Amino acid sequence: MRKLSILWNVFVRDFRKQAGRMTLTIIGLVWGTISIMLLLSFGEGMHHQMMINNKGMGENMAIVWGGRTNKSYKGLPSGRRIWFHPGDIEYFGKKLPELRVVTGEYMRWGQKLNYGDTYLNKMINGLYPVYEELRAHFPQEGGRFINDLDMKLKRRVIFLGDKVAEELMPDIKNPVGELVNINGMPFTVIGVQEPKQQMNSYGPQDANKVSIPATTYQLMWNEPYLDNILWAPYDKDIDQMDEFIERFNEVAAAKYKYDPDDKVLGTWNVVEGQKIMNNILIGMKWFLGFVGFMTLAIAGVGVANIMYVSVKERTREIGIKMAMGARRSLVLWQFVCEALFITFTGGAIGILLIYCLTETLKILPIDNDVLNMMGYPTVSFIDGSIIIVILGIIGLLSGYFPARKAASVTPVESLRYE
Amino acid sequence: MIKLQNISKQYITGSVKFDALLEINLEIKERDFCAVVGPSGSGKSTLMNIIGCLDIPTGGEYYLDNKPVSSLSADELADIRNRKIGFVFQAFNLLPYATAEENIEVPLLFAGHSRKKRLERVKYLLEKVGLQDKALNKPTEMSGGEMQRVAIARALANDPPLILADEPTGNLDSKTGESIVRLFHELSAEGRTLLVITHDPNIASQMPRIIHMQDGRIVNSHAHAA
Ligand SMILES: Nc1ncnc2c1ncn2[C@@H]1O[C@H](COP(=O)(O)OP(=O)(O)OP(=O)(O)O)[C@@H](O)[C@H]1O
Ligand SMILES: [Mg+2]
Repeated sequence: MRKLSILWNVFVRDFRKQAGRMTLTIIGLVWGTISIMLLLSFGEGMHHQMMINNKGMGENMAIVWGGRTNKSYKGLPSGRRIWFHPGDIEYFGKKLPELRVVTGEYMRWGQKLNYGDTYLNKMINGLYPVYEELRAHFPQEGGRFINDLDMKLKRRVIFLGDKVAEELMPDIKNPVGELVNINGMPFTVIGVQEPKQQMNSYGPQDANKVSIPATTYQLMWNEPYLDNILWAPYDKDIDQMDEFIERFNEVAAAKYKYDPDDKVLGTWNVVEGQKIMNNILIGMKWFLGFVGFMTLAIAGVGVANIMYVSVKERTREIGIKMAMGARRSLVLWQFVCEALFITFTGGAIGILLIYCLTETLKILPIDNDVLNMMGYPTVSFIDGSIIIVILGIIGLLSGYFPARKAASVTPVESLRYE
Repeated sequence: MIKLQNISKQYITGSVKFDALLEINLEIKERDFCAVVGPSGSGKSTLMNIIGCLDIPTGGEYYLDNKPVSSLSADELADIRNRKIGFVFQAFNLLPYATAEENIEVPLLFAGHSRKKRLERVKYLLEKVGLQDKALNKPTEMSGGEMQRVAIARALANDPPLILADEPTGNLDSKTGESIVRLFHELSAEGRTLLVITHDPNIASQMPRIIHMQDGRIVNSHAHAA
């Protein structure tokens, strides 16, 4: 206890006396910390934003479309068209209970859409309610997506992409309840899609889509074929996508009588893209982290240098103190405390400044294309901790070793030091 | 109080060996007041540094208060330097960034005295060396004599029985030097043991005992008939 109070007294006194040098060192550290944190937080923000953008089309699913057979099979000729029927949704669901969702969609290009005198040419989708969650067709407040009752009653209701709503009725604040015509037939707007970032798509972006219940669609166009089947495994199974794709193909091949080895179906495995994206992002973070680490290392070398120089400068001082009866351990601890204090203060100030900066940036809305891709820089707690630890180690090493060297010789030698 | 038995100090620079001290035998009793004289390079500082536990001899044994110093740990030596020995250097060796009172406070800090006690003691010592009005001056803002008096006050901080001074007047003019010497006489009168290296025969002759050194040996150690 008494030794601690001695250390404290000496530390505080000498620290105050050398505030200038200390401040300079701390500024150097703040600078280094800010550089690395800036890089890492931009990396983190970008990662986050890209993940959001990537999710825009929906996650953990596959999209399957029909094609033509390339081989004759069991007496059937090649070149047959294999198209999915609405009934296949239930069929695949039964045959593949390991899947969480099986659904389908109709797509019809170039339909006439009008609201009053505003006419647009749009693709109409016939969809099922599960689409809301699967393909992220979330409604804005006050609206809803197609539901089971719409399906059952084959209601003439319509769900608009946000860009379509904007184009069609720019002056209407809440389009829900308005009447919109498809090829002259009136539909009631039940919801407008919440704006979202979407990186991938087949057909137009969801913001440009017009959706009606699949049953209404069938009634309108008397359409026997689905354009796509969409299915999704349970989240825990997303590593088995390839297996599921194979099984799906087997079921389809059995039903439509084609050789399962024949590449008839087209499949877009969204998970694969997610994985690639994820790897790119991780790679990018490592790269940024590496650059940041180098920056921090430079700052660290600077600190080590200042510490080292200060010990040289202070070797005489150590000699004086030891001649006056300072114990070796006191001298050592004083230097270690000083180095730790400097590195931690510098690190803490740096992280705090970065935090303030990123919080301030968050107040700005994301509405330009740069931020759309970059996202907001985000400070990660783990990054911060790692940096603090690295700084601590640098501080410890740069404080301890030179001081130990100075304190391990006789006072006379330290006093004589030039 | 101090007993040196065959104390040697050998420096090895490259392949050249140099004996700074050669088999020194010396006894200093409590309350002794000694001058150490001799030509430059004769080993005066080396001897004093060993006596002050600032340096380690390469041969022989040094008994301080009958204890062999070689048996003491580094921490014990530090405590001895802190409590028992006051050292005054020719080059002052004050902390450049600290004021007079802060410099005097240093040994008190290491002794672990309370702030109140430290302040009291510093005040007393400043008065004793006549520097009350320079308490807040840094070394660069003081004359050589003032710096040396700060150094003496610092040496006295923990009231040590033994004062060692290595050419305390070497950097001062003769008038200032005299005032320092007067201070030493006071300290001696207080019952302290003093060992003072000097080149000044005038100063040496004022001291009861003179130790002559030459080429690392004591050639003559005699007491004046008082
Ligand atoms: N670290 C060292 N390495 C080598 N030789 C040294 C070292 N320190 C002192 N010496 C030598 O030891 C001898 C004695 O030195 P010391 O400082 O004791 O002399 P001194 O009597 O105090 O001289 P001065 O009156 O000039 O102060 C000198 O010749 C010096 O060159
Ligand atoms: Mg000397």
